[in-house]
Amino acid sequence: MASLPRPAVLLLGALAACTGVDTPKDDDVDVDDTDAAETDESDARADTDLPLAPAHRLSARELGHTFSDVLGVDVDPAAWLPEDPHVEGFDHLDAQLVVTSDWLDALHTLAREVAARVDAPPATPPPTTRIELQGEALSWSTGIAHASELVPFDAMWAFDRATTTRVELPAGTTYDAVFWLLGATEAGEPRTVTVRVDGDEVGTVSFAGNERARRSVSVSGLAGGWHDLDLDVTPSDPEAPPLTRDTELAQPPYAGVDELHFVPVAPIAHAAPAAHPPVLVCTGGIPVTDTCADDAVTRLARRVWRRPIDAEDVTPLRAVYDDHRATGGTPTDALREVLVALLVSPSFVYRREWTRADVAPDAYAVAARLSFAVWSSAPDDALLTCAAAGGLGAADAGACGLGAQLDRLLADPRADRLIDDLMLAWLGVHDVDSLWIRAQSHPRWTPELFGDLRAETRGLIAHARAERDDLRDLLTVGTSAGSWRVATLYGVAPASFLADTPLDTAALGRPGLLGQGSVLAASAEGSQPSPVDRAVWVMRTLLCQEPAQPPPNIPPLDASADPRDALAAHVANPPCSTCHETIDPLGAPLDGFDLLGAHVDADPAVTLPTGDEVTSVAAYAAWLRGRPELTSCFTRKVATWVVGRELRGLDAAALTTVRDLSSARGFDLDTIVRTTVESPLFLAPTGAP
Amino acid sequence: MNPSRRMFLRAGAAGLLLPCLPSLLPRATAAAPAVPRRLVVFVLPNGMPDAVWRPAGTGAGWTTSGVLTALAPVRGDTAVISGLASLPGTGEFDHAESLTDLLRASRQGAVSLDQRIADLHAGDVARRVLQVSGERATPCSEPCTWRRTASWRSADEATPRIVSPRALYQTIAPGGAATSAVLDVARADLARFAARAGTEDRQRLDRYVQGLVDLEARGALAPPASCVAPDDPGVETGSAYTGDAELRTMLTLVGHALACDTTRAVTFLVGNAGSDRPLGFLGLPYGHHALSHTDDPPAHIALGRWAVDLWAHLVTTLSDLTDVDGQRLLDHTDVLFTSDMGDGTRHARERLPVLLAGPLAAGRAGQHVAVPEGTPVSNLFTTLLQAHGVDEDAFGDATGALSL
Repeated sequence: MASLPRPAVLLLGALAACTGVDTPKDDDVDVDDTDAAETDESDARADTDLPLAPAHRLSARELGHTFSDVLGVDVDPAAWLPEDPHVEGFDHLDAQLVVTSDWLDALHTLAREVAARVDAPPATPPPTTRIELQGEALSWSTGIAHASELVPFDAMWAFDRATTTRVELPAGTTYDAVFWLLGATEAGEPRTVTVRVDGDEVGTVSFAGNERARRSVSVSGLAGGWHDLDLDVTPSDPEAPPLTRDTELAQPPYAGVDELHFVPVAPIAHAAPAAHPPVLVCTGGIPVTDTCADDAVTRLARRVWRRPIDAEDVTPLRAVYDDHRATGGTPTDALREVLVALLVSPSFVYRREWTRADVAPDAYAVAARLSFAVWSSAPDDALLTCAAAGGLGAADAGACGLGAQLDRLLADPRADRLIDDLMLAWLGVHDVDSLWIRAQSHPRWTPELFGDLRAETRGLIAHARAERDDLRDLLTVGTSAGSWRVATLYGVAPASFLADTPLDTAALGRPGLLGQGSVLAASAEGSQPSPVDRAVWVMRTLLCQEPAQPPPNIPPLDASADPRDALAAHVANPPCSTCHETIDPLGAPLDGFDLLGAHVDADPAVTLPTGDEVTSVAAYAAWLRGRPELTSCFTRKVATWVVGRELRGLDAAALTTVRDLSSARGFDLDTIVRTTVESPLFLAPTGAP
Repeated sequence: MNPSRRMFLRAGAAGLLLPCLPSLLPRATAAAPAVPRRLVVFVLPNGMPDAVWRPAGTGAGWTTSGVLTALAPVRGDTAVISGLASLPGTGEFDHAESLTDLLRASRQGAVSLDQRIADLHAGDVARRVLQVSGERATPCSEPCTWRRTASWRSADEATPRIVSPRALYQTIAPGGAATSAVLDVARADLARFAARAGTEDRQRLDRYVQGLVDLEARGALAPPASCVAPDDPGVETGSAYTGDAELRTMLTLVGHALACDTTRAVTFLVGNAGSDRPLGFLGLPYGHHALSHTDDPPAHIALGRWAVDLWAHLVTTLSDLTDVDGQRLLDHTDVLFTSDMGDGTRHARERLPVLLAGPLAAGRAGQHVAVPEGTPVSNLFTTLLQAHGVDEDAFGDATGALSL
């Protein structure tokens, strides 16, 4: 076995006492080895009924993608089913996914809904419209027949003088709308705001001095299309410097409009989305009849159950069809009832895995593994056809070989779910609601800002995937495509922001993921950022290390003291200091960012557990970038996602091989996925070759 | 292969070990009341300032120019109770904690009021508790999950939520039970699936088998004669928020769920604690959470009247539906309006807005009942539990039962 590089030894040695996992004795990727002690016994049972990788219930997210891809029904199962628990940020790791009575009952209800909507005209999507502020497009959607856009707090600089907003209303009807303006005249001077639509004055509102109040202006009969919405604030001082975050927070003598809401109150119509190919039909797209019902049932069952269908399967399915026909149902509705039966059956609910060592996985199981790994969804017809032909072998170099099909899946737009479902979940930035509960007290928090912050992170990852960049470079990349909201949060002066030019995050002192507001918010954990929370996030998310639980009898923090002072006193306490001195430096380099990632004053100099000193976020990111544990962790996260279960001690050797091969091949996201699929982790029951 | 259900239930498919099946055991020997008594808890999260809520005067002659003008259509069926307070908070995660504490009145992981009522009817209804909410949410972990649920089956198991009219309709619509032919398909597939199962597989499949048994048991429950099929609300839009019309539809469906004996305990959440639901349809430019931290009495009155109008819709629905004895469904249904907070500006848990209709309120219907300030709302919960036949002296942090 190769020995660890010296810095890694130092870091691991320093952390060993303060993490819940042992220091690896070699350079194997570290995984939970609780089953390692059972290896001998497990091996002894391997030829009987060893539980290798048990049947795996689909998660709500996987169900949603499957309904959409296979049946053409867009429904959110999370709104119908009990919530799935999350482990390591993922919702599909098998051990946590069980079928309870409540779950199966809710699935049956959902199955009836899905069956009712198959081949039905698509539902009208939620209303949407577009709005531009200062020349940049914004967007929002809302499900009710009203739409509003909040021009958020961080845009207030724009409204102490004349400003123009453009809004596009969908064509086909006319609209009534209300402007709500929050006037803020703390400076003591009154202000008058004149509202114009397409140059025509529609109303004027006045705010007395030292007032903070809402006023509204109504407008009716707006046609579809783009409209210019002009607000003139008088008196104004066009020579005054634009407000910046610092001056805002200093409570400047400000007079202007703090918020603008434009609320169309008429329903907004939309074109229906493209239709999915018909599902409830016989071969050749022929409408189902009693004559071809067996054919229709077989076709449907094959797609839904992801396995070959024989006469033994068809008999009870046909009974469902016949029962429904006997009560007067149409052939199509009878097939809907068949679909309900299919959707509540084990062959749909569970992914069949390697259940026994003496039962070899078949090509259909491989097809399902592959499609759920890359698309979070069931196999398409092409994959099932390959499975039926006995394809999907690792050594098969043909079009139905594992490699060729994996290439096809990765090139499909559905593989973008690796960004949205895998990467954002891994980082914890998909979890808007959890963040909300912590960020609500932040003066800059708005849903729109967090949407933009998340979009910035998604854009960074999508770009890296498209360019096949090394995944580790996400930590050090020096630009991002942040919006004007994000730029404002990061301290960019409005006049300096250019919508078409990437933010120079390196120059802003916030390179890569660790400088992004979404990650800084996700890593803050509590409602106040602390180096401990961010260190724990770095350990768990980037290094796959679990901090040890605190020893017993730790005195509580002094609730009456400033949180930072209370933490400092806590850390100085000898029983606590041993671990904190090791853990906290991994979060301390991020002290210069508040909960949402805005800059705050902090000493950037930190001595890391390896003894290295860093004086900037960039230096810290580069240090992390070079840690071998980080490479192992990134491998483990992606591999865990692909395999769909928590990795165990038995998987360590295979995981190490995936890491080393992926590194040699470039370490981009698709390569790690591909290397995992080609490994025993994916191809053999336990990961053992 | 097409195994009979009886054989399946006796021995399990493919040799699976079936657990003991409580739902199939003989039920309690005590005779069930001819007409079951139900409970609906209507929760408006995020609070309502007492200043715009509490009417002037007590007894039947109360007057108001505030929120409760909207109570007029059902004033004669509703008691207004003021002065109640919920479990004091810890100060952390205010909105999340306040909602999750509300119906438990305890921070010790107790089950919620509605689940205690549901215990009385286990096995008699298809669903112990229906928790219905007008607001969806993305997946998240604690404490964010707390701000979506007021109903708790156990310390850490929230009652599943139904968040769209369509899902509620599909859940309660007569004829929606799994047919025997559908269950036969699942059993036949299970037999083939289980044939290749390992030990751990079989343990998992045992839970699936239990789910099938429960599905079948629910299908065997015949709706009472009072059950009237509700109107189909149509396909959902996928919106994160349920609008005014859909909320009213869901309240109507709640009435049908009770009339059809789908459940006897309902918790209805207008939305989430800390909600950012757009309220443009009320002429308000911000969500309830933002409003709750704003000193804007006209806006609070507008929102409060809307919520009370929803309450009136619920009470009217229950009044219009006929129970199995020919009386109003409302006459056998206790209906409680409350919030997790009073004045949301400071996350205050005292001076809660509380309304009560149904049999427990019958003696005080139309009246304003002012109880000593700070009386635990759990005292009222205790009274409700006792009225339903639960042997309970003090629920949660209650100091006793509240005399109405």
